[in-house]
Amino acid sequence: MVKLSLKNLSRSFGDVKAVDDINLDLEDGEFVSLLGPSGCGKTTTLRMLAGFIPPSAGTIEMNGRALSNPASVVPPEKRQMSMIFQSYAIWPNMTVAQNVGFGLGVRKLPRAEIATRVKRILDVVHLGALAERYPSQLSGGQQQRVALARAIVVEPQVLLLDEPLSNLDANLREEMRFEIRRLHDEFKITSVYVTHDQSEAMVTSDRIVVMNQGRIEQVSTPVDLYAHPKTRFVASFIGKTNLIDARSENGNVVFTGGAWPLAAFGVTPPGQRFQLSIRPHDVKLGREVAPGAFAFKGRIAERAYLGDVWDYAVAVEDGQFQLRVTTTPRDMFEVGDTVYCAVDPSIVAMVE
Amino acid sequence: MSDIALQPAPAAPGRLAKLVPFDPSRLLWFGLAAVMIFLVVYPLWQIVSVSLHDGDGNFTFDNYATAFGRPRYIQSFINSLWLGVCACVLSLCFAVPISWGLARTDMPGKGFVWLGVIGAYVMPPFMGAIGWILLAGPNAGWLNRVFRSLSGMDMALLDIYTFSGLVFVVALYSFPLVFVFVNAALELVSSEMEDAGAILGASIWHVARRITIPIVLPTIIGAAIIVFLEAVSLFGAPALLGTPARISVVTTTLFEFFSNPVRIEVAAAYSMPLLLITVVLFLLQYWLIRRRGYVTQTGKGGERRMTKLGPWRWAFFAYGFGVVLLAVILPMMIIVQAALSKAWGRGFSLDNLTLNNFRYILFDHSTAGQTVLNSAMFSFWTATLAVTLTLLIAYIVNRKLVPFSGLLGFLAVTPFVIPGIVLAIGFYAAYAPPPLALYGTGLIMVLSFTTRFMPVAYINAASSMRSLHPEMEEAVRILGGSRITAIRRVIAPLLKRSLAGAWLIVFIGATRELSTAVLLYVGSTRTMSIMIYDLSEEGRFEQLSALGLVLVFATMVFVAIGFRVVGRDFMLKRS
Repeated sequence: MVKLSLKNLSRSFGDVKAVDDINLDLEDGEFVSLLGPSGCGKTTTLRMLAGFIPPSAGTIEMNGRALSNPASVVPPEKRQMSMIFQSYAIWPNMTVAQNVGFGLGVRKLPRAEIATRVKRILDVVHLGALAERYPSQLSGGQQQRVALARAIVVEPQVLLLDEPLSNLDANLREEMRFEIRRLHDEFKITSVYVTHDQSEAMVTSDRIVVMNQGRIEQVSTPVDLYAHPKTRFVASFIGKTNLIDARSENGNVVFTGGAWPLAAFGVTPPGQRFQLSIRPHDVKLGREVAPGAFAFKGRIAERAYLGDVWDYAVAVEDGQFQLRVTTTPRDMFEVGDTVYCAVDPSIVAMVE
Repeated sequence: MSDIALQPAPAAPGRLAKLVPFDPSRLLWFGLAAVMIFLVVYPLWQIVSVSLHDGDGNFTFDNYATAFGRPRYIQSFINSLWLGVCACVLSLCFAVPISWGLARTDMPGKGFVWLGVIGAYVMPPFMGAIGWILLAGPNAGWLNRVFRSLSGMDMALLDIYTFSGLVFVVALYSFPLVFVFVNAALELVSSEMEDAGAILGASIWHVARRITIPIVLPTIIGAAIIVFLEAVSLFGAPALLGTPARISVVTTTLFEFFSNPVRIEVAAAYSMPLLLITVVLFLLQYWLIRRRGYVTQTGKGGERRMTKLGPWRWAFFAYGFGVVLLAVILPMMIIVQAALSKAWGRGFSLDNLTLNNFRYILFDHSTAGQTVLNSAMFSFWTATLAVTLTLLIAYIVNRKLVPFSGLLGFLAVTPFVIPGIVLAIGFYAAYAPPPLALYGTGLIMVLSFTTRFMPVAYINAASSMRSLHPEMEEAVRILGGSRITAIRRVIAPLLKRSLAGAWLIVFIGATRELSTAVLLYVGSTRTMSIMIYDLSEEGRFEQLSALGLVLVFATMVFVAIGFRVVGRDFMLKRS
C-alpha cells in the first residue's frame, strides 16, 4: 500500500530550482534514503514532507489525501509525523523524560500512560537510567538516542531523519546506523532518511533515492544500485568506479582499444553512446590471460599499499586510458610490469 | 489518529490555486509595523515637518534662520561638538589602560577595579555631576576647602563650573562604555600574536603599543564615537555644571527653546544638524565595528596568558584605583555625607547628623511619594513594553517569516541616533496636539522611554534569538505542538534569563532617564531624576543627595539581581 506519494514536486528559491519535478512513492513501513551531495535538494524535499516549506509546484499525499500543494499546506503540527534533526534539537530546559514525553503530552494522553510509554521507549534505546538527566549532562550519542526515542514514541505515520548522524564521531556513527535500522525493524515506521553518506544509506535503507541537482537520478535497492547504476553520477557517487567511453556498433560495444560483442554484456545499451562502469575490484590482474577471455593489456603506472588491499593504477593500451584496480594484498606487481586486466562483461554496467 | 485534512479542504484543482491560506505572522507584521511607525517614524517625521512650517502651517525656512541667527546659538553648537571631542579623548585615557590592565596583564586588585568600573557605569551622570559640585564647587567644594586649610591660600584649587570641569565629569561617567567594548575585544586577542612579537625581541611596551592596541584600534575608535554620541546627547551634566557658568550646549539650548514661550518649530530646526551628525557618526561606528578590526572571532583564538608587568603592575593598579576614586568613591562619599547632614557645608560631626532628609523626600514632601511611584511605574512599563516588542520583532526578523522583516529590525535600532531631548521634541510635536493630546500623561512618558530604550532591548533580543537553533522550534511543531506551544514551552523558557537581563537594563536606564523626560513631564508625571534636577536648581543638596542615594541604592539592587540571573555578562555584554 502506498503510504506517501510525491507528485511532480518542485521547489525554487528565487531563480534556483532546489527540487526539480520529482516523483516518488513510498510503501507503508518502508525505509527510504534520499542520498546525494550537498545542494542536491534532499533536505529541501524532506522539509517539504515535514510541511516547513510549501512546494512551488506538485503535491504531496499521505494515505491518498493531499498534504501539500503550492496553494495550501497542512502545517507540520497536523501531519502526525516526527523528525530527527541534524542538531538533535533536544530541548535543554527539559529532562530526558520530559523531552521524550512531550509529543505524548501534546496528544493529551493520560499522565500514567505517558510515563509507561516513555519508560518503555527509553529502555529500548538503552537510556532507562538517564530519564531524569538534563541534555547538557549527556554525550552526543546519548542525545542522539533521546532524539530517536522522542521521535518514535509518538508512533508517527512517517518518521523523517535529517542527516541525524553527521555530528557524531566515526565509531559512534557506525554503531548508530545499525541502531536506527534495528529500531525500524522493531517499529516498522515509514521512514525518510536524508544523508550524503552512502554507507549510512546502504546500511539503513530498503530503497535509496539518489538525487543530483534537484532531480532523482535513480531509485533502487542498495544491492541493485551498486550493481546496476543507471547514470554515471550514480556509478561514481555510490562506490568507486572506472568509467570508459563506449558506443554500440553492429552488435559490438566499441571503446578505445577494443570491441567486445554486445551479447557478452547481457544488457541493452541505454543509447548509442554511453559509458562502461567497471568497479576496481571486479578487475582481475594477471601476468597472462586465458585465450578468449575479455581483458585489457596494460602497464602498472602507480601503486599504493593500503594494508587490506593493493590499489593499482594501470595504464591501458599504451596509456590511452587509466584503470583503477584493487586486489588482495597477495597480488603483487611492480611499477612498470606488464599486466592483463581481465573483466567479466556480465558484471559491467552501462551508464548514460 | 487520522483526522488530518488540508486547510482549506481540497477543492477542484482549477480553484485550488486561488485559495490563499490565512497567515497570522503577516498580521503580526502589520501590527508591529504600525507600532513602529507610531513610536519611531512619525515622531521623527514630525521633527522634520515641524521645523519646515510656521505656526500657521505654511512652508518656511524661517525657523532655521531663527535657530542659527544668533552667535550664542552657534556657540552652543560648537560647544557641544568640542565637549564631545574632549570627553571622547579623556574617556579613552581613562578606559584604555584599565581595559588592557584587566584583560591582558597580571595587575593586582582586578576584582576591585572591575567593580569600580561597574559602579561608574551604573552611576547616573547627573548624580556624578552633583557629587563633583559638592567636591569641587569653587567656594564650598570639599576639595577646595581641604586645599585652603592645608595651604593657607584663599583661592579655589578646582572649579567644576567650567568647560573643563564639564568635560571631566562627562568623561568620568562615559568611560565605562569604552571599557565594555575594548575589554571584550582585548579578551579575544590570542597571546600567540603577542608572543610572535616578543620572540622577535620586542619589549612588553613595544608589543602592547605596536601589536595589541593596534589590533583592537577599530574597536577603540568605534567606542570613542559612541562616547561622542553620548556626550553631545547628555542634558543633566551640562545643565547642572554649564548653565551656572553660562556655558550652553545644544541640549540646554533646546531646553531653552522649550521654556516660555514654547518655540517647538525653532527647537526642531535647531536639532537638525545634531541629528545629522549623530546619524553619520553612528553609521561610521557601525561600519567600523562591523569590520571587527583584525580580531579573530572564532572564540578560541588560541591560549591567553597574562602579560607580566613586574613592578609596573602596581602603577596600573594605582591608575585604576585613581579613576575609580574619582568616579565613584569620592562622589559617593560626599553624597552620603550630604544626605546624612543637616547642612552639608558644616562637615562631618555628630550634631550635623540627621535622617530627616530621607524622611522628607520619602514621606514629608508633598509630591515625592508620587514621584518615586512614577519612576517605578514608568520604568516597569517601559521595560515590559520594550522587551515584548523587540522580542516579537527579533523573532520575525530572525525567522524571516515575512518579506521585508529586516525593516522592522532597522526601525528598532534607529532611535539610537536620536538624542533623548530631540526624541522628546518629536514626541511633543507628534502627540501633544489633538486628537491624541498625550502631553502631560504618563502614557507619553512610557511611550517615549520605550522608543528611547528600544535599541538596547532589540540588540539583546536579537542576539538571544540568534543563539536559539530554529530546529528547537521545528521539533515542537513536527511533534504536534503549535507555534504558540513552541514559544510557551521552549522558546520562552530558554530565553528567560537573557530577557530578564534585557528587562533589567531597560528598567535601570528608565529610572535615571532625564533628557527625554525633562521636556515631556508635568507636575503629576514627575520622575525621580527630574526631582533631583529640580532640587539642585533650588540648591537643596542634602535632600537631593538623599533622593539620589535612594535611586543609586535601588539601581544597585537591580544590578545585583541582574548579575545573579544573567551572570558576568550582564550590562557589559558587547552589542
